[in-house]
Amino acid sequence: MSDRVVVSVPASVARDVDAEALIIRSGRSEEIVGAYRDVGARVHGIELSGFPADALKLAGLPSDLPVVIKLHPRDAAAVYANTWMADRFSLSVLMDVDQGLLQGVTIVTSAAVPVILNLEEIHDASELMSALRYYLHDRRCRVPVEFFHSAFIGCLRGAPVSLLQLYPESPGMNLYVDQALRVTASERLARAGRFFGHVCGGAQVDTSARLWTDLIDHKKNLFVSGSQCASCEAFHLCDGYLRFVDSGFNCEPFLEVFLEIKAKAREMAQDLSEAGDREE
Amino acid sequence: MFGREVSIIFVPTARCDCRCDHCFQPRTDDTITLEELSTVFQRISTYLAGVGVTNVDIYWQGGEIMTLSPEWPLQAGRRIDALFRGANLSARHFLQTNLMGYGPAWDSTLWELFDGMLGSSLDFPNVYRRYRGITGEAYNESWVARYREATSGGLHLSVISVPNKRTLDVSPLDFYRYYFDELGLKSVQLNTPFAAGPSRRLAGEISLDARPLGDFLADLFEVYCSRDDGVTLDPFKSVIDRLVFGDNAAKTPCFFCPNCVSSFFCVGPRGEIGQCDAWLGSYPENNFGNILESENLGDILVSPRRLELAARAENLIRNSECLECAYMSLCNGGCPVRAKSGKGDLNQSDPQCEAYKKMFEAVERHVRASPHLWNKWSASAPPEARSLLWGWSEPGAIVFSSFECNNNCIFCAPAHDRSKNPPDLDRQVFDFITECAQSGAKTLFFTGAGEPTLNPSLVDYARLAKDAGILELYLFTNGSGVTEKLVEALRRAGVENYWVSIHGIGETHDRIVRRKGSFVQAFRALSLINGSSPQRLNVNTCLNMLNVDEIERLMDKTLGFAKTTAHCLCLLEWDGNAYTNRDKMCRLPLLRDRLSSITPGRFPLTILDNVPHCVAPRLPHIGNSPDDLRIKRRNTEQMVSNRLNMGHNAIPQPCVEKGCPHLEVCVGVDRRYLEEYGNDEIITLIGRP
Repeated sequence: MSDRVVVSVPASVARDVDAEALIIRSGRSEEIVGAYRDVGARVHGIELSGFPADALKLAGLPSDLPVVIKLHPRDAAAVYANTWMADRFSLSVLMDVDQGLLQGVTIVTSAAVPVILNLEEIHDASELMSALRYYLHDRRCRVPVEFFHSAFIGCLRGAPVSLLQLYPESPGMNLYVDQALRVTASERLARAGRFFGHVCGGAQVDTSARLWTDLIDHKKNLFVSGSQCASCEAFHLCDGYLRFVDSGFNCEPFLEVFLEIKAKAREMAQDLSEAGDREE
Repeated sequence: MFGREVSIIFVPTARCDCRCDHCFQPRTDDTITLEELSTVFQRISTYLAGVGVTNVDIYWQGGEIMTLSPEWPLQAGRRIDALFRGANLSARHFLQTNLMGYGPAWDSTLWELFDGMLGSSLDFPNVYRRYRGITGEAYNESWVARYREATSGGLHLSVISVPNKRTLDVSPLDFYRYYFDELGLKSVQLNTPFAAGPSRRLAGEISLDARPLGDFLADLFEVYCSRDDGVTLDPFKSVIDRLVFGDNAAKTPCFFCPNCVSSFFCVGPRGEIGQCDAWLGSYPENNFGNILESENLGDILVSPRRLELAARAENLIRNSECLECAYMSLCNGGCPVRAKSGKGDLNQSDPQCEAYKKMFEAVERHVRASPHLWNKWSASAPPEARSLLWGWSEPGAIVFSSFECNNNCIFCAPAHDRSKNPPDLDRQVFDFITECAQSGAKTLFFTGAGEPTLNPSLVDYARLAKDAGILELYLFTNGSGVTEKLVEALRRAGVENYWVSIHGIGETHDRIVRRKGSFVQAFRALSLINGSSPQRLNVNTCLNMLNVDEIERLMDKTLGFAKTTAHCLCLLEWDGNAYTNRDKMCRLPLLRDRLSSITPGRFPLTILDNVPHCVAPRLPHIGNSPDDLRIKRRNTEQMVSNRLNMGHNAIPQPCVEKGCPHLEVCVGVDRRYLEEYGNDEIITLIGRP
């Protein structure tokens, strides 16, 4: 296993995982701080489930540490009570895709905190398009909303970035360890009960496991199997990410979003080109 | 809880010499003592350092600071700085004053503690401000007289203006002209009035209707945009910056910040801790606690009253119309103390909500319709890092343009040369410049065995040099004769490079150059030259035992001037006064210790002159200048190479015996220093061979 693999671990078991780069997860600051005491410089980031009541305890962590807060849209307003964390850390909010998404994104970005849509927690995608429009057209949105931002910039530059790149599940680069010390590539795979290894000192992975090979050959398999994904007009923006766990996943709202991103990027590229012509 | 940076609004006294009707501060004689202040800031620094804060901005407010003696804030500031330094915190000080107590006696304090910058307040037309029976227009005239006196001495002033009902009757153009054209201010911030504390009795008069205020702000914004004359009018500029550059690049007024609790707190004259001076004065029942009564600031900051304030923005979002507002991200619900005073409940939106909306609409329209703002965006990001600028076109020559000096520095090597200028100095200098130009000199350094700005012919020398084809002109100065007029004249004559000698902060500098008031002059000169955007602005500091402990602070201050390009720390040769005062000259082991905290990362402009390599191996060094630089002290003297002139150093024997790998690049140590302290001192430095 390469030293560059980033391993996401529950804070409570962080000390049991022998890896060079760790992301520690918890809903309690005390646990995070304790884990940081144990593993120190190996911590590359923190993932918190919501703003913990004891958030003040995090103050002792190094500034500029990447901190991701997982939030449901209905809890977005809490970001305003914790603006100090944005001043202290490299803070972003990982927001569930659910009812209230537009409002949640508006609130968090209003506090100048970047948002990443949590595609591992998609419950209701009906507000996805309005959230995209807010990101694209509202001048008051001054921080990135991912995946919109990278997908749009990628299209604008003619080098599309896919969900698989933005939410990586490449076992050579990202591992996810659950509470029982089982190893997989992401939270959604863990929830689906799909693993390819376990922790015994370091993360021991079975490279012959079905999941491992599926992940490695994912894109190739889509073509070989004649999957609908391969012929989808937004394939280069998704790379089959959305249907990897559940092949019956309803991509429709996402497809609309992808097409809108592509259209708006084309529009902007055209405008920029015309503006350039005018200047010349 | 705070980020890495926090601001403290410090109210050391509630005493005030003004009796303004719209003031929210009750006037009392409460003033913190220096002993109490030490306790307060000891506790604050311990707490802030413990929670990872690194930078603290301290805003000195009143009451009125200038009711204290000028020495008081200086002593207080030094105590605070020492405590903060001890806790590894970096502190900057800012002053808000009504200016009515200003006089030149304050200059030393203003330059040392506040870097020559101060904030004041002035309304137009003046309705409520009053000072010892002076009201209305007379108050403004009195203020303007002090303002003129302050700015003529190089101080920089910004102003807070609070509109009143009569302001709304004035045309926005006249309002703008008053501050920027008539007074010549460069920076004004509009604050909205609120009636709280003692001014509550005039609530009906002081409070403004949001609609006419909004119209006024929108129209004033149009004037501001149409003028485009480089001044700053806030909150307009900060809102534009926020929309165009993002939040990090915008210096947003506190009443529009996402959550003021995360950014600052206030310390009162009795040790009270509150949110800001407005809360402290208007609603003391909402104070968080008293730091003189509790050892741990952390215990005070979890006061339920502070937590209620911290939850305000969240409450507004959940329970008010703010969430639906298109401008929530720009105003964040506005100011809680204004909400409390105007609506009786801090969990309401700012009472001037409608006025702000009008302003935001106008700003947004302007930003959308002004593509040049976005061009600026791409041009200005990312911000340029400061870096050392060193070297000049060679060959160069030194023009001794004055032998007179008003200082008598403890290390002055040519002290014996200082005298009256020879009667034919002008002719000597003109001849020398002509000769230099004919022999191909590309750079001239106007310096002297004395102070060049004392010579009234200086500008003519520069003009001749430029006309004769010399490319680069440098002026070395102690700052005493530098005025705005001289800087402009020199600029026109072609002088675009400066060295200003500053050897310490405040009294330290005065003691080193042995003239009271010289620090103020030197810093004022630095400020004036900085304002003229020179190509190079170097600060020269001669290291000695009097300043070696405050080098870091001085370097911080130098970095605060945007145009400084180098800060040279030099060890003088042991000649003249330096030899006479050799007990005050810097010892090398001590210097090594003090320079260990000066790193190129923190202080990118640092360069060492004539300092042995091993004293600070990580910093850039220069030593004796190359032969191209020529020295001529008198017309009768031959021009000699600098190396020959300055061959006063030697490589100590222990360094040779130890086989130091840096002998080739090291300037060595002054021979007389070695005679004084012997090789044992060097062995202390490098270890036994």
